[in-house]
Amino acid sequence: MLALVLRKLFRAALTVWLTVSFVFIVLRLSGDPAQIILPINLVTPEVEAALRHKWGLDQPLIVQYLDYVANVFRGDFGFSFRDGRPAVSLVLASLPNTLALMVVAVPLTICTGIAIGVLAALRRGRLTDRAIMLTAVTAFSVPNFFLGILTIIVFAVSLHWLPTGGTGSIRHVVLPVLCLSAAWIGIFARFTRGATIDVLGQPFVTGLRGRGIPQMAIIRAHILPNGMIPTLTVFGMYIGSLISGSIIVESLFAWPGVGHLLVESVFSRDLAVVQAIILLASLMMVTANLLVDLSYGWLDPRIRDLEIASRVL
Amino acid sequence: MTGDPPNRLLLAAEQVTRIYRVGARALPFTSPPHVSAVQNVTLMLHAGERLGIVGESGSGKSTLGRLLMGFDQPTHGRVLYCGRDIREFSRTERFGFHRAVQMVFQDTHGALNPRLRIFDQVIEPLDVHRLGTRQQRRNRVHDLLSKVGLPAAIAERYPAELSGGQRQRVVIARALALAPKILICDEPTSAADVSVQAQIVNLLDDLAQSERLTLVLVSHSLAVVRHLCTRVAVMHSGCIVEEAPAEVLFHEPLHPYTRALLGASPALARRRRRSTPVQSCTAISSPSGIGCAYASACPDVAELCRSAAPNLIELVPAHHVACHKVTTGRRSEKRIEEDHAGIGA
Amino acid sequence: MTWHESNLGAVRAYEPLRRLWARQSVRWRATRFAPLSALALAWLILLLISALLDSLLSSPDAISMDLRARLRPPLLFGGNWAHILGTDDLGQDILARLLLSVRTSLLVALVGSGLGALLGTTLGFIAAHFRGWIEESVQMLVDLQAAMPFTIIALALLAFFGNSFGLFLVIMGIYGWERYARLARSLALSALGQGYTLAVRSYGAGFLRLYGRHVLPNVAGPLIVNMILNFSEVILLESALSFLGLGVQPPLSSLGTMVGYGRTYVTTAWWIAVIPGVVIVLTVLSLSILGDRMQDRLNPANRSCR
Repeated sequence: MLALVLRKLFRAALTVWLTVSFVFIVLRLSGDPAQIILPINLVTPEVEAALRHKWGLDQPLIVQYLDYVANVFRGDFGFSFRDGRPAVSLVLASLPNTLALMVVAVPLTICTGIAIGVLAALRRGRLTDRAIMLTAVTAFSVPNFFLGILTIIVFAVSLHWLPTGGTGSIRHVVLPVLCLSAAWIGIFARFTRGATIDVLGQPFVTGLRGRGIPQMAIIRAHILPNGMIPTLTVFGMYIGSLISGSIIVESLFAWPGVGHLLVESVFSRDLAVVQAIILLASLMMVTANLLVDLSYGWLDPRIRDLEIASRVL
Repeated sequence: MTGDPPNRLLLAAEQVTRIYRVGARALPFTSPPHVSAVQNVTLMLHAGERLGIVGESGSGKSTLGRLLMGFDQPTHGRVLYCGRDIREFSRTERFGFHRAVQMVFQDTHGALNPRLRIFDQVIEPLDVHRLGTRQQRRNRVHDLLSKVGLPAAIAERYPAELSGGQRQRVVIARALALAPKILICDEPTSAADVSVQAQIVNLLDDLAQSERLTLVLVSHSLAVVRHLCTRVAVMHSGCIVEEAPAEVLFHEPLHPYTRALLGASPALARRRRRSTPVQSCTAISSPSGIGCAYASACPDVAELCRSAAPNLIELVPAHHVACHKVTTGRRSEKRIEEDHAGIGA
Repeated sequence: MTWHESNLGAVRAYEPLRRLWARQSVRWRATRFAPLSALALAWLILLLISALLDSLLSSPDAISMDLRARLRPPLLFGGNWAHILGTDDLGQDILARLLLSVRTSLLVALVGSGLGALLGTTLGFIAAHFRGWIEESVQMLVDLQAAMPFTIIALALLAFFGNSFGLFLVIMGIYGWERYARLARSLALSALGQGYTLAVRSYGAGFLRLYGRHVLPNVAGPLIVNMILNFSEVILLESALSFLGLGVQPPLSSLGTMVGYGRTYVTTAWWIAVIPGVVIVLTVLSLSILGDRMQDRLNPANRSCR
């Protein structure tokens, strides 16, 4: 088990490193940052040279890269080209807002999705099941930006129940969370339903029923743990799409989180901030995947053995 | 068709070992768990010969067949064709090798592409090697089909529309398309029922004569090997334990494993009084054990067998055996007499 | 060229997912959603025909501005027959723009998923064929692609390189290639275990003949299903990026661009954003319904365990 954890950690670190390097090199190739930032009419060669020197842009690319990596390890991601503040502090300032959305959205999505999925499985083939599954498949066909616009039109513009965007109260959270969650509630519901139906068909469940054990007890003790495993697989993908989803949702609802910051920085070509956000996102995804991988072994005793685990994961 | 004089050495395996990884390595840069499917096998194939390789499933006989075909690379040792290592072939040499050595696959393992008509599959080797004109290739396909006893109409059908016996014949026709010198047959009959088996065996027999083929027959069926082959190698746990001319091996088996195998074969066991049950002892279960791989199942196991692996030794000319008991027994004349009395009775 | 059983880690992590989807779709069929897939197919055909017809007519309506007829609502919401789906703030006919946008969106999705299929399938086959370090590197690329925040990187690339339609298409093509690669590799590995591929190799056929003529036709089904699912994902990604203003750019117009454009008018003219949005939803929905149905058709195991 320890060897497995070490192997996974090694791979995770490798992934983050490769992602960051790839982004660094490709974005640098896109053009000279100094020329992008400086207003054209104000540039004198001296100013430009001074700036280049200050930001280390006069060094060869490889030196810049090594500097960058070394600085990243020290927690220094460079400075925002726009307002000269450290990129880290900009990102950290907006991170709580994004996390606030996720802290609400993630448990909501998972709990609702699993509950609905189990319900559909238990009512399999009946009207409830069909209605749930049709809703689920529709839910993940609606892109989150469109869902955002629809809900703004309905709940904010027409009904005036909720604000169109911004922060301040619980009411501001409702629409962004809904847009982040809807599609994935559908996906979780669908996967849980499939897994539950598989477990329900197993002989041991019939055996438990035969012994007169109450339905709820069977669901809690046997069906949910078994149904969790495929759900875990989806979880890794969920975190990935949560990150990209938050970009859209935050910019749509003017929610001052990391996604919003990213869109702003990307449009103003604020290299350091963009790089810091990409590193953050890739750390999040890699951590999520790592946790998923390790919980497989924890949830399913059959996978605990290293040999099998390395094949299944 | 072949210009080779008989007894010319065509294909040889020199101390070939094939080790497979089983599963992933525990940590980066450590060695992953492995198993050797073929272990230190040396085998010669001369022109005009019909060599049978027998053994239980898991004995490494199919792996050996694939190594000889160049489908798989030996971990140690080398495979030589006409004296040249097949890994060192140039592009043209490799093409020549492909023409000269062909394989007949087991039909059950999807030997025919389900999406192509029989005609397209039989003509494909000719297309790949650009032999003859389009018309000549067509004629050759019909020749081949009639050679294996199939009606020409079958060419337009898909594999699913054929019976198992017909499919096996198509596989043979395709293997013959390039007029190979050597035909390696991997379990050519194990899928078919008894009457079809007999037909296929007879067909191979006839073809080997008319096409002057050198045959390698990989099989678990002793009866088929006895019927077709002139020389037999018995494999156990990746090693050749006994190798002899067919007549000698079937009448005078020396290795205890061969004897157990012969005793277990219903067609051949009739006259045998005493038969030892074959203890399955596959390569997987004893990959790294020192000593003879058969020691755990051998009725005559001695102290030496558990501590050192026996080498394959030529006891009598052309008769090789890897067994401590037999080789030491040979040295004391008395044991031979006993052995012979025991077998002959 | 080794045939031994390999570390199918990535594929195995992926297979349970596939199987679950597959099993799901069986129940879908059991619950008789067949009319739904007919509807789905009808919608896609309609979309395709309108996109083709539009390019034939090369409608001038789309660009023609009618400033007297600005922000007209659609027919059923107080509009008239002149502009069935209403007009935008410049008086452009929404229907005409919609047709243009459908064409662009379909083109991007087609090229994107096509590129992804080509790249992924080829790399998957190469990994399965050559094994060894080549396979390891492909696997590593696949894992990397799956573990990096692709949308964010795409966003950054498009912004920093400036928007060129070519770069956009390439990014769409790179999106999702890793799933084709995983699928193609595992399918090729199982095909390589079959006698016919060994036979084809035994007479010295080259890579193209082996994979193009023998392996691909035998494993095309799952790849096509993956392509259908990927197609809808590319539509979603394209429209999301275009919505943010980083995808398809102004002279051209895609469904996402239209929704993004209409975003400004949600208070005054909701139809500008809602109509193209509905088209996206219907298209993605139809594609996933059809993809599911094909998957369950393809899998004989599923058919029997109905």
